[in-house]
Amino acid sequence: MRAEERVIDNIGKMLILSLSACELLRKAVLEKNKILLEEISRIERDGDDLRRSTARQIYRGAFLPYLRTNILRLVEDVDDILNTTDKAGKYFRKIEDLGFLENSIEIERILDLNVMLCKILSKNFIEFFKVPEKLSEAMIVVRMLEKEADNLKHSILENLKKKDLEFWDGIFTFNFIEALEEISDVVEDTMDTLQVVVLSL
Amino acid sequence: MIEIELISLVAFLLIAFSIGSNDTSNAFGICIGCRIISVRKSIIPLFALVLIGALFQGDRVVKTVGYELVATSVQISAVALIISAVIIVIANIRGLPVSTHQVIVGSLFGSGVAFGTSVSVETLSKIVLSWLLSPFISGFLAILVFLSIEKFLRHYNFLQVEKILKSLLLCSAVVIAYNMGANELATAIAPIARSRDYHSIAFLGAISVSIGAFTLSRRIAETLCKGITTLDPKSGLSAHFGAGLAVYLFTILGMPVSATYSLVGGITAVGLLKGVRTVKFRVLKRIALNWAFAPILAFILSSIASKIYLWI
Repeated sequence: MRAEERVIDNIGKMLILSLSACELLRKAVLEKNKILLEEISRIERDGDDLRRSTARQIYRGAFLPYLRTNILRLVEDVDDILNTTDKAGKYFRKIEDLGFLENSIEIERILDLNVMLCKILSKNFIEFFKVPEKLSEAMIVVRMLEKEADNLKHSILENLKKKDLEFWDGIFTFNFIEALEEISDVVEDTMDTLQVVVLSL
Repeated sequence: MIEIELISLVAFLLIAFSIGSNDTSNAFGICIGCRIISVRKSIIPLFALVLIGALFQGDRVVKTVGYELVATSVQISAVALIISAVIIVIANIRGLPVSTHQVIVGSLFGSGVAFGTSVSVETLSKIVLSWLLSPFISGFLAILVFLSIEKFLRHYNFLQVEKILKSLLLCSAVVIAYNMGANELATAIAPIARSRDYHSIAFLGAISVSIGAFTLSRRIAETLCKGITTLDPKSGLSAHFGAGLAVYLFTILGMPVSATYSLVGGITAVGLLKGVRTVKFRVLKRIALNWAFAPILAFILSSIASKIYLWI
């Protein structure tokens, strides 16, 4: 396998990991099962290993120098999806009063959106390199979903204001919701970087 | 007489070493910078291509410079090569870019005039015209290559394009390395071609070029790599290929032209194609001044050295 193919393959594996992490986060939050969150941290560490190995491949000469900066940025963006998912999981673990989850279809929707976004990216990643038109179409969908996640976040925070929460629980809940929405932001950033890479040749 | 011949041989080897250390970057520099090939691995193909170039087509440039331009003698060649070697080595140490061709032609002509031997102004005019035309022809070819690449690569995906560009960079490096033997090394051989066996001199020259490439070209290739990152691969490749083809065309015509100046022409043309703002005209002005100054300086210094030699 060529060094370039190994890099693409590694990024593909990182994207599959990020999809698994998002699915696990969804399951952990909806089932209020904090034990599952440990698995997300393990996945995040696996992603770190892949990021280091990919960066080494790039340093050793994979891709033309002109492309290396953006390819490395793409790797870091994908790693950021994993980091943000892990961050959301860690905040969730710290929340003691999970009452805000009762009847919150909005939080469930954001979790679903994150899974959908990661699925779009990971399932079509190789295809995007081959058919740039498909990437442009996916970009439009990703932007729409990200906007929806952003709107939902503000709506959740408005509702949260009305609740009587203990100080630390309030902070951790706020941070958790922020991190949850940030995942969709990072996926959008990854798509932007991917588009720069694909169009740069 | 033997001492003079030996000195001119040493001066020739020094020039060949300098060609290797400086101009290898024109050929394999981008490939080394892009890590398509390592410095160590590039030495053997470089040696082979330079030697093949010098043996197969070097005679055309040797005929123009060594036979038609000046009726050389051992003394004329010795003075011209020593002055050329001194200018090239000092320029290299001080980091000033000079064209080996221009320095050798300027020195040889200056020496020939000072010694009062027969010199051909017509041949000199043709050579100067080649120097003037080569950056423009290189630029024209670079644009053609750029447009063809743009059209051809449209049908391929990202990873295929990357692979094709790398292969084309290697092909382009092969053309330029061949030109190094057929044009650049041949120009350095030209002054001593009458008094020595061409094949053995070409072999010695190719070895000296390879040693120069191995010892000093890594630093230059690294510098080039840093510079190339700001140039997109298609533009860089087009300029490289355009320059390679232009120098090859002039080699067929027997004209000694600089790959570096051709490369400058190629880069400028592709830059202009993308927009006037991308071209740094101040840098171009400095290159043009240097282009005019080097052969004149070589001519003057060589004339003075020859007069001193005759006076002694």
